[in-house]
Amino acid sequence: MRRSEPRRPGKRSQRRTAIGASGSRTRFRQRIRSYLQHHRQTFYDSLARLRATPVQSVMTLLVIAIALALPAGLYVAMENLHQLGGEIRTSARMTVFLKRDTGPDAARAAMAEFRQLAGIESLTYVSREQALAEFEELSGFGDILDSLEQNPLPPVVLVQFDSHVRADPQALTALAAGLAEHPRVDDVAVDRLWLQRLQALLETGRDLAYALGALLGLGVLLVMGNTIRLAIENRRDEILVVKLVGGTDSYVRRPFLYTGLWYGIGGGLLAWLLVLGGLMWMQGAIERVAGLYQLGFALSGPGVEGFFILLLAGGGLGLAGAWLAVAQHARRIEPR
Amino acid sequence: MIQFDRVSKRYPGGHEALTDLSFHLDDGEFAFLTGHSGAGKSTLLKLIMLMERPSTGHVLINGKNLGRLHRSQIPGYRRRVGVVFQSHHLLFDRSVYDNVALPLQVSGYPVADTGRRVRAALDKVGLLGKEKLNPIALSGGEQQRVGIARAVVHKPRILLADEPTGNLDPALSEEIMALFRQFNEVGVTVLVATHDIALISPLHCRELKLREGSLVGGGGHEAV
Repeated sequence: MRRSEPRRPGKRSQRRTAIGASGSRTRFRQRIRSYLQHHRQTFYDSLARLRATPVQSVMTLLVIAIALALPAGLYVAMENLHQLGGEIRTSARMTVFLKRDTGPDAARAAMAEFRQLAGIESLTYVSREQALAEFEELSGFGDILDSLEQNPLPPVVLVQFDSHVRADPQALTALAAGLAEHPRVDDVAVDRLWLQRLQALLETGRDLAYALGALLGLGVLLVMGNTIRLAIENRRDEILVVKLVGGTDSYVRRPFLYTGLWYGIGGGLLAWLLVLGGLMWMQGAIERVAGLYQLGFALSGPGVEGFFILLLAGGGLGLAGAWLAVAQHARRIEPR
Repeated sequence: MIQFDRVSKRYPGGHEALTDLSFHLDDGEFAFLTGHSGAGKSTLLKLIMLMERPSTGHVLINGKNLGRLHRSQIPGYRRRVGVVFQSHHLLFDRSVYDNVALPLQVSGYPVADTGRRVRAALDKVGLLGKEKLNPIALSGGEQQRVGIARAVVHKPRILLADEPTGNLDPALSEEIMALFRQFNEVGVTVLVATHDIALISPLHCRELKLREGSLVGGGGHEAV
C-alpha cells in the first residue's frame, strides 16, 4: 500500500542540477508570496500566543503602559501648565500708580506721554473713585473703607503691553523704568518674578518629562528583552527544529519581533488611555481652581498626536527590545 | 555525493570523535553507518548537517566543500538534506500536518502546493488519515514515521538517519528500513546510522564500520 511516488525523470535531472546551487527552484514571485504568507501567519499566531497566556500578557502590557504613561502624563501636565502660563502672560499687565493728587486731566496728559514709550499696547485709566468701588466689591472690606474719611487709593493706569515686551524680560524692565521716570508716577508694579518662576518651573518640568521618558523607555526595552528571552526559551525546541530543516535567522526571529511589536503597541495604547483617564479624573478639580483664578482655561488631553506618538514609541521600543533579545539569544540556539 | 577527505573532529576538552576519516558515497547509494555507541556515528552525521565543523579535513557534498559555506548559506544547504533522528524531534504544539509542512514553510514553498506535498509524504509513510492529530497521540513507530515524512517532504537528494529504529520493535524497524529503501530506489542518497546489525545484514548494503572514530570497513568501494 505504501508505494513510492513515481517521479518523472525530467524532474529528477532538474533537481540534480539544483542541489548545491544557492538558488532555489521556487520562483521569485512565489517566494514573495510565501514570505508574505509567513508574515500574515506570524501576525495572527503571535497574537494568539498572547491570548493563550492572558494573565502574563496583561501584566507585561501594564508594565509597559505605566512606563510610557508616566512621562507622557508629565509631559501633558507641563503642556497644560504652559498653556496656563500663556493665559497668565496675556493677562499680564503693569500697574502704574500715579501720585495721589493727580486729577483726571493731569492723568490724561500723563497717559498721552506714556503712549510715546515703546511697547505700549493699550492704557486703561482707573480713577480713585473707580478703584475704591472695585476694591469694595472684590475685597469685601467695604464697611472698613466706608469708615475712612477719605479715599486712600491713588489713581491707577493699567498698562497692557505688546507681544514683544511680553516675550522679552529686558524690554519689560526698560518699559517699567521709562514709566517710573515720569513725574506723575509714584510707583510701577510688574508681576514679573512670578512669571519668570513659572517659566523656569515649566522648563524644568519638561526636561524632567524627557529624562523620565528616556529612563522609562530604557526600562521598556529591558522588560521587553526579558519577556522575549523567556519566550525564546519556551520555544527552544521549535527553534532547533526550524534551524535543522533550513529556517533562516530572520525566519526564526520573525515571531518574536511580532510579539515585541504587539506588546509595544498594546502598551502604548493602554498608556494613552491611562493618561486620558487620569486627566478626566482631575478635570473637575482643575476647572474649579481655574475658575477661582478667573482663568478661561480648559484642560487639554494627549490628543490624536499624542495617541500616535505613544503607539509609535511603544511599538518602536517593543520591536527594539525584541530585536536585542533575539539577536542575543536565538542566535545561540543551534542544533548540536 | 558525500565525500569525506581526511576528516578529524576533536571536541573541546580533547575528545577525538573522528580520526582521519576518508570515504566517498555515490549519488543514489544506500549505506549503513555502524559501530558501537561512541564510535563517532552521530558526529559524522552532524558534520554532514553542518551542526558541527571538522577540526581538520574537508566534507564535500556534491563536490561542494561545506567548510566554504558561510553561516548565512547553511539554511539553504540544509533544505536539500533530510534528516531523521532517533528522538524524532517532533513539535507537540501543532498537528502532524504542520510538523511535516515545516520544511516547506521555512523554504518559502508555494502555499497552494504545500497540502499536496505534505499529504503525499504522509501517504508514503502510511499516516494519511492522521494529519490532524497531535503527534503526542501517536505511537512510537508512528511518531518516527512522521519524522521520516518531515525529512522527505521537500524531496531532498540526501537522506540521513541517526538510529531511526532505536526505540522500535523488530517488525516496525523492518518497516522503517523498507521505507528508506523505497526512497533510495527513486534516487535519494541514503545514509543510516545504526548499531542494529541484525537488521541490516539481510539488506546487503554497503556498510561503513566505525570503531573509536576510525573507519575499519566499507571505506573503499569493495563489493558488498
